[in-house]
Amino acid sequence: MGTVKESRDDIAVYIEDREYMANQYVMKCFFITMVFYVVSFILNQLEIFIVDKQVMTSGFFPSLIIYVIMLIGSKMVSLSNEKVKFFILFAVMVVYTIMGITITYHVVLASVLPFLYATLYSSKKLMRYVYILTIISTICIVYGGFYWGLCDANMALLTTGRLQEHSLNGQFLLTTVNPNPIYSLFIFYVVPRCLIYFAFVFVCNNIIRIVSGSIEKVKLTAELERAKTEAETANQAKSKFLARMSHEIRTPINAIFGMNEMILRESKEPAIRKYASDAKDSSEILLSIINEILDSSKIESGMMELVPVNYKLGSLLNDIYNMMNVRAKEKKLELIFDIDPGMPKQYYGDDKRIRQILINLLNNAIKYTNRGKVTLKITCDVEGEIATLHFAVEDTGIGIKQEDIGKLYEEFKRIDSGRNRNVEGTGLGMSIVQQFLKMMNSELHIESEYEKGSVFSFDIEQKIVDKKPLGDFHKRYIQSVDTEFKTSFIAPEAKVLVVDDVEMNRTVFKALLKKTRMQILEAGGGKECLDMLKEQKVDIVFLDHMMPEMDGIETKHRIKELQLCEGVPIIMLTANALAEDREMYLQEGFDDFLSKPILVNKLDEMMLKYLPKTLIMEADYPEEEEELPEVVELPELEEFDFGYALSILQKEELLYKFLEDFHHSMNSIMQRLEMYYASIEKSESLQEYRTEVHSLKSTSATVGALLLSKVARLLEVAALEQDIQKIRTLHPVLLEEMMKHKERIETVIQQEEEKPFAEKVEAAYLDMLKLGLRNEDYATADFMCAEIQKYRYPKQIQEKVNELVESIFRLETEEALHIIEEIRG
Amino acid sequence: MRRVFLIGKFNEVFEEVNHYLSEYFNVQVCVDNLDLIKGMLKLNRPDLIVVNLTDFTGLQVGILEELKKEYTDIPVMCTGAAAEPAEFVNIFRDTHFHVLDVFATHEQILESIYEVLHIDYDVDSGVFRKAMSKRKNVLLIDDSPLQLRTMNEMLKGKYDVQMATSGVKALALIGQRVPDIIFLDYDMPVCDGRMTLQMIREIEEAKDVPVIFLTGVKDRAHIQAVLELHPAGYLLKPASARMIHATLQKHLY
Repeated sequence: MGTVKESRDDIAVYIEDREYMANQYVMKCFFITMVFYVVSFILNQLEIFIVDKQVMTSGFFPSLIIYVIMLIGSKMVSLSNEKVKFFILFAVMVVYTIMGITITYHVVLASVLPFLYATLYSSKKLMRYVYILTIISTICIVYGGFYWGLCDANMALLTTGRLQEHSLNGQFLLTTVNPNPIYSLFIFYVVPRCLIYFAFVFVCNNIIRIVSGSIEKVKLTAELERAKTEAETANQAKSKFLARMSHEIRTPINAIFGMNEMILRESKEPAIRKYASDAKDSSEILLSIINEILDSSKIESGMMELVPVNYKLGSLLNDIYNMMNVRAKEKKLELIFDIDPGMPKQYYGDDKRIRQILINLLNNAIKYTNRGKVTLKITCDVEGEIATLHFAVEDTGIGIKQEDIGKLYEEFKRIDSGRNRNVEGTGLGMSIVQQFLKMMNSELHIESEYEKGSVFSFDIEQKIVDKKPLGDFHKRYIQSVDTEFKTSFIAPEAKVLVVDDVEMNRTVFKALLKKTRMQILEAGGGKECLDMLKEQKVDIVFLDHMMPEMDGIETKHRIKELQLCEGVPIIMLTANALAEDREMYLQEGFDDFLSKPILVNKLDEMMLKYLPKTLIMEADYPEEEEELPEVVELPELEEFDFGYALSILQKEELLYKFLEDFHHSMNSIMQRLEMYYASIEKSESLQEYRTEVHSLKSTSATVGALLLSKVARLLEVAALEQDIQKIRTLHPVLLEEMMKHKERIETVIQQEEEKPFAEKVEAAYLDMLKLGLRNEDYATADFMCAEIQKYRYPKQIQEKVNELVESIFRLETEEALHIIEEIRG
Repeated sequence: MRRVFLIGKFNEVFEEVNHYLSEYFNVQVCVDNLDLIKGMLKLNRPDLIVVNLTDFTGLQVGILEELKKEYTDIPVMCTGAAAEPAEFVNIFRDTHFHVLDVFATHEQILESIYEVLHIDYDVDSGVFRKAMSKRKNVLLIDDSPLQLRTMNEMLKGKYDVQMATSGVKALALIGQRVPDIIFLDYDMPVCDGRMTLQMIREIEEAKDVPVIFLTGVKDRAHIQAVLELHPAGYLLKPASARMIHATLQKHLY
């Protein structure tokens, strides 16, 4: 489908181009011809180059007609096929020749050349025919004219040198002296004139092109400038938005990660484990995408800065190897790290960025390689304190076409997207790499052979901290594998304290460590944490940063002041993944930090790194049975998320009770909304309206009517921003939804049963109710309300009672007391 | 906490007794309507029924007869002076009723109640209050009644819940009785959570009451703003029953 459409588009563009060109040339040639006429008219007047006056006039009008024909003809050039074009051309030439012979060859010569030259300018094949035809027709005209004695004085002079008065009508008669008149006519007359015409057209053509070209250029530059500023503004806004969004997204991902991990650990159903592991893969991809977007938007909004620290190249590469080797193995590729063993060991620079660059490049290499190997080569030149590191990532992958290399750096651009559509990615990777390298005063070099493989290489300068040689990387790696691969361990003796004000986060944390059987202590705040530390000794502390009352950093200081747990590692838990924060945490005396979402491997690593080695034991996971909470059967109701409602209300009876209450209150809510809406222009009404939708927002969410809640929220925002127009649009939607929801609820809640009839409301009930209300004792008031509702009353009283019940539900004490008095009469 | 069911006509004497006893017991009041009394007794079985006879006439004899016949297992105590005491003489004969002297003071009434319910007490050292573990009082402030209702449903039975639909109403309630903990909605029209909190903090008796913010707004700036007020804690709406109970547990005990 796509290709057919594309080629159609192409043809349309092509035709338009041709048409445009043809038209333009016709116009140009018309102009040239006119100039020619003016010139020859002047020459005629000055008697330098004499042309018969009759010839001038009879030549001018036919030319004009011919130009009109040509304009039509040029339209046809673009529309009709080759044969038609040739036919038209031929017909025009024949007509022309005849006209030329009968009127004058002189005029025809002046106009025919540029005309043909122009009409069929763009086709070489046609051009050839045109030249031939032109020459033939010129010969015909000249020969015919000469033969029938229609040539002018100049012509006669040129060809014979002799001139005689021929006939009565004033025409010249030629006395032939020259033995070969046609030949000399051709040499002396036709050829030089043709050449002059060609030269003339060529010069004019060029002048016109230059003039129009420079006008176009000015226009284009202005347009480009405007487009550029527009794009830049938009881009900056986009970057800021993305940076903010990404941060917001990271937080909920924590819960997704954690809960998923819990499922993976606790469920034994193979199907569920499969789903959960798929979900885990996807959320990992999601996180990496968000990280990429975050990076690229930070770079663009200028928030990204290099944070140089001392780092060991060996451990950096080790991390990368571990990560990449898993992926390479999945694709059955060989991953080779070819590192110069003589290069220095420790450097000063931004290892995070270098790591990201290498991971991006290696990731790409692995992604686009289906067989063979991926190699990372690092060599180094040392000049005093500065080392220039040469990195090169080679692969035996699909390679890149030469013309596509430029596209590599464009954001969101995927090369050869047809061929590579099943390779995932945002298309941001290369652009990020390029930007990082730019920040480090370097750039990426790409050599690639299509279908054979590519080499991505770059050089960066780093300050040397430790000149000791790095050593054989592979040996070192194999050594460290023994210690690092021990992810399955238990530590039942270890005491871990986690401090976080959000209970959900603590739950996730606990669940992640469940298998290690550590003793996990929880604290909901800094104060609680200090109290706990006073009482008992722990082995490691995880502190959240943002907490009410006493935040993580303050808590840390207090721990230090009180000398509560010296030598115990304290690790910061934070949702701030920014590098500058990381520095700050380390400066504040934290041993390390763990960013949220907490990844289980990171957490295990942390534990292995900081827990005393004596506490860690080999794992021997015996399978534990866990009881799942009982699942409550809930009715299915369109647009209602009862699972959500139940997560708030906890009890099924409560849910039904609230659903009923909500149902009761809907009518009056709608009435009030309509009332305020009628006079929405008034600011008091708008205020009331806002209050009403505000409460509707939360109440509808409580019973699980999330859609309704969202609409109410939109209206609340609109009311807050005093966007009357928006309210007008959304208000009917809200009411319609409320009606629908009301009907839906009616299908679930029990219909009211027949009640006994009572003539009037029991005065004692009203007394009790009044007493309860006066004391703000809503327990009594609610009870009395329920008692009163057990009866049916005469219509008038019933209405009042309904109002009363409604006002008590809304805690409108004054109103309720007023209605009680009304009921009493 | 012991439940006392107090029956009587709503008058000054009744109010006073009610007010006094409420300090020590969970008092449920009820007017002199037999159907109502039956209904309420069915709902909640009290440890003791107290009947305030003030203003009672012959019309109310039926109530006492019913109590005598049907509720033999609940101790009944009569206080105050009936308007037509002659009507009641027969009733008081051989019953399980504890009829107090017409002029008995509140303290004497309380003493008799303690005797009837077999509670240890020491009048002189004023241990009355300490012997009781009073229910904690929770004040909920939110502009949305349904929200308040939700919370109330979650808490009632375990706590004494008071609800206020605005900051101003909340202040009135605090004036009557200082709560043990306050849940405060941040985003309220007119007088928002911040202003309400400032007003609460200005009341001398209530300035140390822990205030938990409930906020529906999740963005960082907002939470930061809430945290700057140094509340005892904050919960994101909609808060689950488990969270609320956990918070109460943490701050009250």
